[in-house]
Amino acid sequence: MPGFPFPGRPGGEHDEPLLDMIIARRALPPDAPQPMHDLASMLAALAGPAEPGELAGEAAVRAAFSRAASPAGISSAGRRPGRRRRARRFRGPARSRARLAAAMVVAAAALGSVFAAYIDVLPGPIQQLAPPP
Amino acid sequence: MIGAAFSVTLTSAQGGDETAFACLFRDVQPALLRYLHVITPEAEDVAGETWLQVVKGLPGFRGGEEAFRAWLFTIARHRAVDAGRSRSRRSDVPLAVTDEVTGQPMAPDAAELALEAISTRSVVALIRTLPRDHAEIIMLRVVAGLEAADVARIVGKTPGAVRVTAHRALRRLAELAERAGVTH
Repeated sequence: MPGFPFPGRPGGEHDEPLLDMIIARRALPPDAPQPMHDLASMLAALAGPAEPGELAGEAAVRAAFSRAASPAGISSAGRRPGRRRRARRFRGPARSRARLAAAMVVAAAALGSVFAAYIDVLPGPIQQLAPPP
Repeated sequence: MIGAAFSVTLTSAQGGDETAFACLFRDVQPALLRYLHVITPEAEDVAGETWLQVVKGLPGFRGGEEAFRAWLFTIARHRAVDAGRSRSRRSDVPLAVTDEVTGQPMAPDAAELALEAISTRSVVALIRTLPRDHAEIIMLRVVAGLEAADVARIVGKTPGAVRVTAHRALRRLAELAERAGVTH
């Protein structure tokens, strides 16, 4: 590209003020190199108004906004206490399950001890405490 | 950019005015979608998630138009990163936008670009051929209209590095545009 400074070519850093103008979307001086004008035009197109299809999501986003802004939306945002209630409701059974598991462990240990005493396999001093079969 | 009316528009939207919110949406959505098309293959989905998060956070937002845009594009980038992570968990697809067949970075068809002249789509396609960080910085600086300091915070670089990268990216973009025939 004649007249346009690329990295590694002489004058590569002299274009920085022009590049900054392009970034800031300011008009380039008329005597700026044509490739700079081309680049500015290209990026201006990119920063232009919405094209067909780009606002297709508006209805869904507006619906989400009106849900959040409505009294119902506010109350639904305040449903966290409900979730807490649900969490509390689930905490009860979880505790019950833990208690049941502990009770089953104790019962299994007791039954095991009785069975061990019955077949006379407990250590001597403990076996003496057990009633004779 | 909305400009002087931004403050009033924002306050109305924060008060539940749907028309004011739609004004914010229409102002930012084109730039948001174009930015997302450069950094993720799921641009529309990520844009939708971004706006949902904006809706949730809008009542608590404080700041001017620059800050609003910086906030929104920060959310968008996070959502795009999340989408990329979940995509890679699903199918080991790399985060970078690649051609599904060759695995090479997508390159726009030169003839197509020449035919489309300087349409938005062709320029987005051209920018997608740049290195990821170059493309992202161009989009945030030029399309989103963010200051170098805001872009630096979003991409995790210093403002100086953002400026240097933007210059390099623009030079490279001009070179690519000339090769592809995307000139004015």
